[in-house]
Amino acid sequence: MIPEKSHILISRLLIYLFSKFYQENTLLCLLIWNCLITVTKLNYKDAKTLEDFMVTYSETLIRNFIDKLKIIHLLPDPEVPFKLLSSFVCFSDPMAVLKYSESLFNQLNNHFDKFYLKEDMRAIFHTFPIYKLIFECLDNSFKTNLEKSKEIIKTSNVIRRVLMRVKPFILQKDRHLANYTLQILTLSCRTLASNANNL
Amino acid sequence: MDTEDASVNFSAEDPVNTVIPESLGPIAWEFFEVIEFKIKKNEHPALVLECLKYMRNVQQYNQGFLVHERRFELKILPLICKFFQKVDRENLNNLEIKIAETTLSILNNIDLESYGATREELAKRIREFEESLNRFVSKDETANEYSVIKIHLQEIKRKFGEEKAGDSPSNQGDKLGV
Repeated sequence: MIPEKSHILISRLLIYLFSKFYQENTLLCLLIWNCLITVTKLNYKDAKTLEDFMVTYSETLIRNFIDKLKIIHLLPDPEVPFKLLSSFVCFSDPMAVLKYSESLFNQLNNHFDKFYLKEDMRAIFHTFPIYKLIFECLDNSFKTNLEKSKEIIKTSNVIRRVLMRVKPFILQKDRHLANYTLQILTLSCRTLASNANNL
Repeated sequence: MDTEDASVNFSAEDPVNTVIPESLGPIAWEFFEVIEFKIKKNEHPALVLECLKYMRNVQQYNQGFLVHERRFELKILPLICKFFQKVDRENLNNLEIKIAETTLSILNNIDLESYGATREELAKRIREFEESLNRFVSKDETANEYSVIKIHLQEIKRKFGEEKAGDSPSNQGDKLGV
């Protein structure tokens, strides 16, 4: 158990480090962000500060990461960024994820297509968990704030493009991938239903 | 995993994958056959359960989807009956209980008004499904694990019993023959 004073000091240090690097090094910032949330979510009395922090920086981080995804093939080990992104999506401002979901999905789709183009299985294992997390985020946003969510997501085209990509995996022998796909499909229902003019 | 299967089944340029109208109904229709096939293959109860959860979710937002062309009654319910007939144990495990619960919950939420003249056939199929569950459920009256299934079954009986105007409460449930 970390004493509360140390807790606050660690949090402040992480926030300082974050603000120092957030315009230069996206991946480092994601790492700091995830550390910060892990430390603070355990015991942090000033939750308002954390909420403000998340609202302020979530969008910037997502935008930076979307840019990073365009050149991810140049990185020696793309696994780490995807792991960092997964944790980040869990703990970022859901409205920021919603706002940038289309760009995020488009970039993730490009990465996912490496499976179809090069039979690169890593593309599947990188993207599936993030697809699911974004769909969870969309589902929660439409559940808690329907009108605002509908204003942000005006078309479900992008959702359809993701679903068509993952569809063949329902029939795969790999039970985990089939399960993931079915869960993604189930999570998409509310968004599709809320978004459509004609069910 | 067999990577070739997935590659053969998808192409980003394929018109089938690009011209589907964007809304829940057409997408659910696009996935229906795949889901049906998955249940038919009967690979693992966890996957069958996920398929049913998806159907229940679609039903929640689009009441007509499973009722249209009696999709659930004709294509899915017989497969679930078979699933339970094949269980060669005395008791159902947790996953199988959840499969029964989810199926019954879908059946309970079907709007009978949309069924018109075919509702008698639906009742017959539900009776078959009930029979496939009865060897587990009726064995031990005190068993708690089947309590939700029993509640669902009672609700279904009540639902069909209420169809006939002027039915007395004592006659309710007769249509299912129970």
